[in-house]
Amino acid sequence: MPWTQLSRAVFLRAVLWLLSLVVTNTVMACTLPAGSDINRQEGEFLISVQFDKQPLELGALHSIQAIICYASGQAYTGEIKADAIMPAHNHGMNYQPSFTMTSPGHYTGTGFVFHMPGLWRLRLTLQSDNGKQLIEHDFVL
Amino acid sequence: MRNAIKLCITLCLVFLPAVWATPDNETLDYDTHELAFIRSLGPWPPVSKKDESNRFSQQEDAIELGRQLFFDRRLSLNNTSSCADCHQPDLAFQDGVALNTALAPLHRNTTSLLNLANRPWYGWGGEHDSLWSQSIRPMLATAEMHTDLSALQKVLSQDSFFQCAFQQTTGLNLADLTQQDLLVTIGKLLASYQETIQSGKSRFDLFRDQLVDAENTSPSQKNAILTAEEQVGLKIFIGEGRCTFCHSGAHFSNGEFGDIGVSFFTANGIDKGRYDGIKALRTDPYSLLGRYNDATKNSNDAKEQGNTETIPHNALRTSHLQLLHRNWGEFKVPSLRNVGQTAPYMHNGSISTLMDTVDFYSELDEERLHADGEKILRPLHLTPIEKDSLQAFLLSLSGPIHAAQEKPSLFSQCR
Ligand code: HEC
Ligand code: HEC
Repeated sequence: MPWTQLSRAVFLRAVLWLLSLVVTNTVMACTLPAGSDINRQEGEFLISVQFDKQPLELGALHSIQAIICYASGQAYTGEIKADAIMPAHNHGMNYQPSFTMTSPGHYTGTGFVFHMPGLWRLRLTLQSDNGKQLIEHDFVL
Repeated sequence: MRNAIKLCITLCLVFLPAVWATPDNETLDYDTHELAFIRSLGPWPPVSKKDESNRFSQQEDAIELGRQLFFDRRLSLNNTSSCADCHQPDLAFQDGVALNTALAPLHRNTTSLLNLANRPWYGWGGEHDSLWSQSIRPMLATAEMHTDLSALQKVLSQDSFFQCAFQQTTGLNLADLTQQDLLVTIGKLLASYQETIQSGKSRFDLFRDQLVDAENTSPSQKNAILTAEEQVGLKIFIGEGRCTFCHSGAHFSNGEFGDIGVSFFTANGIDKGRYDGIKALRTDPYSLLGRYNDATKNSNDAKEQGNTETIPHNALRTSHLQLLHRNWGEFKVPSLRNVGQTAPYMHNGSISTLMDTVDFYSELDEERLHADGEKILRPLHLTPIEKDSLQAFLLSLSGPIHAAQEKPSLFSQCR
């Protein structure tokens, strides 16, 4: 292989490597941990939610950790509204949960008390430029 | 000696078959769903935990001084009644009447004081979020103790023994306290004593322990602790009765509130229950959101729970409450431990016997329940045998009651 060709190949590889570094770094800005209680994509969002403990305790105060990214890799920094309902009984919690952002994309929410056994539906509402996004997660207590 | 042995052997031979002959209670078959529900009703007793809002909680001398205060009529106007006059130790710490008439007729039934440590809400409407603030309530209630605080402060400061014991326990000088501080300190001492009022293992708990232990071995080999009748009642309780929707967990209460259709009319008005309870909490200077909560603000625990504001972590439940229309006419789901000893029943004492409560659930008035309601309660239409079984099960929930006993030696320097 002549010199010029070799150096061009090396140069191209280096450029590719650098590019990939840049790309992973942007993604690193907001990534989801593996193995949380909820881990999925919903519309333009990637969502990970982890309860403070499992199994959840009936009637006890629970908090959750949420990480929310745009699929593009940016962190979501907007508001999170939350509640939980029991669809079968047509009622929700006696408490209004609240969220605080601890770092971009990272949220802690508290004020969750699931006071009856049965199917519960956790509902998180996010707000982006494209409108509201509802995230629902069913679980049995 | 030999004769003694002979006698013993003869006695054993005569009586042992009699013991063997008593029929074993069989353990009924339980599916995995039922087993999970039974497991969720324990373990009992709960792990004891200090109440962080009360710096005197679990402190030996505070328990003793609180015990003395609990029986002390000087806490009331003209020495009319002590806490123990309404919460009588030999009546499971309640009074056995539908509605007490202390200084004026009350409109709520006196609750028993068993197992009150670390519960989320106190009072039938959950007007208070700590045992100590609930303990202040009767002193301020004009129909109950109607305490004259300045007179009380004077009387207690002049009692040199009490003044000394108070100083030793709290590090505070009685005569120097503001009335609010006096009230809060007395409330906290009373709470420390009340935390020791507990019921021990009931026959149901022993049965549950046995079932949980036996899950890996063969359960039917053992003599079940509950009779067949009680077990049929248990099956109704966790099954078609849906009782564990509200009477759940080791306390047989989810700690929250419900409307089961007991009248909210009182002799001269309406008792809105939880609705007014939440409103009262929000303006209560003695709630956990106020300055008398002894829990340290912004502990690590608090930060973990996402609490970056200045709300102490033990007040998060209070701060996240929401007032809902359906809270109107909801009352606290009472614990059913020792329920056989706490008649009359319900927030207004309107049901006099345990069998009548079973009848109440059996013939429930659906019209009276919230229209869009919980759809959890419906009339059970139990047969007489089923009713007896459910009652038998409820009676198996009684355990021995114990509370801190007198310890005079603690204040020997004050005599
Ligand atoms: C005149 C009778 C009377 C006296 C005296 C009295 N209580 Fe009560 N107690 C009641 C009634 C009635 C209730 C239910 C009140 C309510 O729900 O609003 C109650 C409720 C309670 C509760 C709530 C229990 C629960 O399960 O939520 C506690 C704790 C309590 N009392 C402690 C005390 C203490 C401590 C004293 C003495 C300072 C006292 N009581 C004096 C009648 C009395
Ligand atoms: C929807 C929730 C709910 C369900 C389901 C429920 N209860 Fe209750 N229970 C309550 C509430 C709330 C009260 C107090 C009501 C009041 O005072 O107005 C109560 C009161 C009682 C009492 C009186 C206790 C006392 O100390 O006054 C008994 C006994 C009882 N329930 C047994 C049962 C049984 C047995 C079942 C199942 C057949 C059952 N409950 C199902 C909520 C419920």
